Amino acid sequence: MKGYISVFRLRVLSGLQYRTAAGAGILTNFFWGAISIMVLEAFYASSGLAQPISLEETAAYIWLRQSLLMLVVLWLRDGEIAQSIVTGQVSYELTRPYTLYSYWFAKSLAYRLAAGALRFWPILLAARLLPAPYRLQLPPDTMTAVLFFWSMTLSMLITVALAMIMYATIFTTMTPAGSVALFAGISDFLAGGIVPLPLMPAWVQALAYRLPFYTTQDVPFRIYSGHLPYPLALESIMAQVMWLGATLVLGQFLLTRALGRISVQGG
Amino acid sequence: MIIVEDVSKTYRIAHRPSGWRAALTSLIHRSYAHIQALDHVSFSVNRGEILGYVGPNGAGKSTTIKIMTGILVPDGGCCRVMGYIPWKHRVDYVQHIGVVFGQRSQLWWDVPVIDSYELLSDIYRMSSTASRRTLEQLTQMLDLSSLLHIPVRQLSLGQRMRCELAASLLHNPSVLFLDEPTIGLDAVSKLRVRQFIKTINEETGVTVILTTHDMNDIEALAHRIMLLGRGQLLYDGSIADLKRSYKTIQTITVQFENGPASFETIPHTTIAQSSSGRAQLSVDTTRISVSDVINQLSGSLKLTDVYVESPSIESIMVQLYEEHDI
Amino acid sequence: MRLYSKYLAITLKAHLQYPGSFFLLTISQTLFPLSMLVGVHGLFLRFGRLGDWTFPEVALCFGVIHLVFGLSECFSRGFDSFSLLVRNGEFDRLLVRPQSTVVQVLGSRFEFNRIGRLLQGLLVLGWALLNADVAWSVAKGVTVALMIISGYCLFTGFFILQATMSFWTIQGLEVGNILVDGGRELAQYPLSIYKDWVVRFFTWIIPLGSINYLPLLFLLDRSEGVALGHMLSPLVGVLFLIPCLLVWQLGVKHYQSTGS
Repeated sequence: MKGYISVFRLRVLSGLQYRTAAGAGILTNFFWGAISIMVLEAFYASSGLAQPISLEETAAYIWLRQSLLMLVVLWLRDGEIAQSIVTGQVSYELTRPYTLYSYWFAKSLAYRLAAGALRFWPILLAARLLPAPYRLQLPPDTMTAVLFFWSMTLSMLITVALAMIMYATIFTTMTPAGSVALFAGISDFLAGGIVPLPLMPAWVQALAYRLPFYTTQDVPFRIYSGHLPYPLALESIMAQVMWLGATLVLGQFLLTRALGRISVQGG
Repeated sequence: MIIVEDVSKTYRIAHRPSGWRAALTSLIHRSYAHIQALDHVSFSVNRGEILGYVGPNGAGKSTTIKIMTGILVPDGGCCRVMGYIPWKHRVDYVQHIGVVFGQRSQLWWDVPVIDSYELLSDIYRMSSTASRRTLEQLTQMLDLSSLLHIPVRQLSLGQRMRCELAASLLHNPSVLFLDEPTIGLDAVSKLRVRQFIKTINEETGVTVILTTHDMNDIEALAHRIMLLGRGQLLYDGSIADLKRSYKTIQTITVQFENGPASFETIPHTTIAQSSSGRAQLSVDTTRISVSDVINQLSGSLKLTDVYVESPSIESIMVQLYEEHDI
Repeated sequence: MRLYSKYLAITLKAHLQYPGSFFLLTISQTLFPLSMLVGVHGLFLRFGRLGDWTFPEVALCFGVIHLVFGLSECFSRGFDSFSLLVRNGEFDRLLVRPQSTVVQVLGSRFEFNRIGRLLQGLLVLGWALLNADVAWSVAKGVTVALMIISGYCLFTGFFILQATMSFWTIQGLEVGNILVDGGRELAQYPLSIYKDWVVRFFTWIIPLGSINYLPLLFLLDRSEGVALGHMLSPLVGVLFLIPCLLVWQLGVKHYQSTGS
């Protein structure tokens, strides 16, 4: 355990060094969020009908996504891991006294936390100061906030578990950019990262709610605004726990199999 | 050919301390360290010379090369190569030079070597007849004919280095900069590369600036050697002179039949190594002759073998580094 | 130009050495814009329209943006990925060759797999042009061509600015993303749906509006004031390259005085 913690620490520290990148990233994410809400505002204004999710709830959804982006998107790839697979360096990792899955998991998690820790609060803070309907609403009560916190933690873990599955596919494709683009292209949409899922047509929702991706964004961001009220929220969190288990098992299985193939070939 | 006068260069490097607190403070305030890479360096190189440029890592060798090739602008001083100021007349100037960075390839990784050559001859604006003729010569000289149609990624390091050399000579440059051309090569490949550099220098009269950590490269090739340490020129002269000035210390290795051996009595001689039946002595030949030492030794011991050697260029370098504390 | 085409040829040859990976990348490159399109379409299904705009009209903006972005990523990728060239020291190599740095950086990399995004943009644009309410004329045909050329120039300009930044900080990429990704995201929709200050900024400071929104008004005969102005507005995108190249020259100067 101590080893994983020190890997984690090192990663977080090196992530903290890039302040220019962080500053720029914050601006980009903020800008992107503002644009998305402006577009949706224009859409909402075009239709007099009541919508399944209010503009204020959608705004909160988008601000949360933009500020916590680093924790929940799959296109954020750990270049070192991908590179070590393609170059075959990974076979050296096998000579070290740790399980590769746990090591990579700790590393990816740290990378995301380091990138995320610097970025989330300035965006949230700024979003709190905006005028309505852009303003970020607070959760309706403490209970919701607590539920959101746990749901968000689970989201982050599921995201890393999904990323591990993605890394395992690099052993087959040998094209990190391809694997990532393939995974991220599908997952971000199905997670509700491009347009909140409640606004999507029925067939998209039917598909999305059968796959694990929605538990990384749709669930926590809707719990926050109270759009998923108390009993439903708990149900969704249970779904998250289930999907976390499933993705952990699958990722470990795929990685073990991929590594098995390497040592047979002699890397 | 090349005149470097009073050239200086300072770098500013962000200072990154370790630890949590430091990482957090560096988010707000970042401190910088200034490093003087070159400190008023002057020298000149004649046409057709092979200049060996040596010094420990970080001595400023590659900074000098970068200035001479027009990549960097110095803070002060002046550099002229063939009448050009490298960084001012970059495009015109680099037409006349070839550069090999031993650690980096200039060939396109995934395509056959010949494709890279064709693209390079376009980059250097050569007529197709001229480039074909040079390529033929180089192919013959470097024995490349079997390599030309192989993708670069499949070449061995030695084969690749030969292709790199040819690539930097395609446009008939007058000056060739070689930055560690033998790095990582096996013994045979090193010999071939050296032989080739020698041949090309003799046949075309190209001026060669060579940096390397391998003193055998220097010994085999360089007419002249320049030692750089901490941004300053510490030695500039021929290898022969360098050797002569260090020839005053000779090493005598003796083997003798077992017995009580004591060497302390011989003046101006230090024991470098001694074990039963074998000893190595350094002799200061300005104070005592080698034959005197051997005479004294044979007086007290029954010698079975005696071997006298002059210091290698490698050990002279080590000595030079130590003397200058670099 | 001849040299540029040689660079193209050699890169294409290299890419084709790995057909599997090339194929995978091409496919995966279409996914992101495709999911955006599905998202926009879904929003139109729910809300009916976006202000004054119908789906084909928005699709026209969308198609143009993704087409030109694909073109720039394909043919100006050298600048987009320039920070790599600085970091691994390859830029030194370009400086010891007797050609302009711009040509060499352009030639240093092409991303042919972006053909996925490019084709998709082209298809959407084609569909939109047929389905939007446009009374066609020669002038309008010229305008469409101008939109594409100017869009390519504009994004290439963004890439050059982004590349220039990496002379100062190796983390330059993210800063440029504001312009590149943010701009792309923004210009998928007609500018008029945004707040006034956004419209003004992206018309006068960063001329994003000039590559699809302003000429779109001309295509739909909705332009106010001088129609010719709207028709020729894409030329601004081409002119945008000039300051970008000047800044680039400054960046090279800076690199030469500090080293990497």
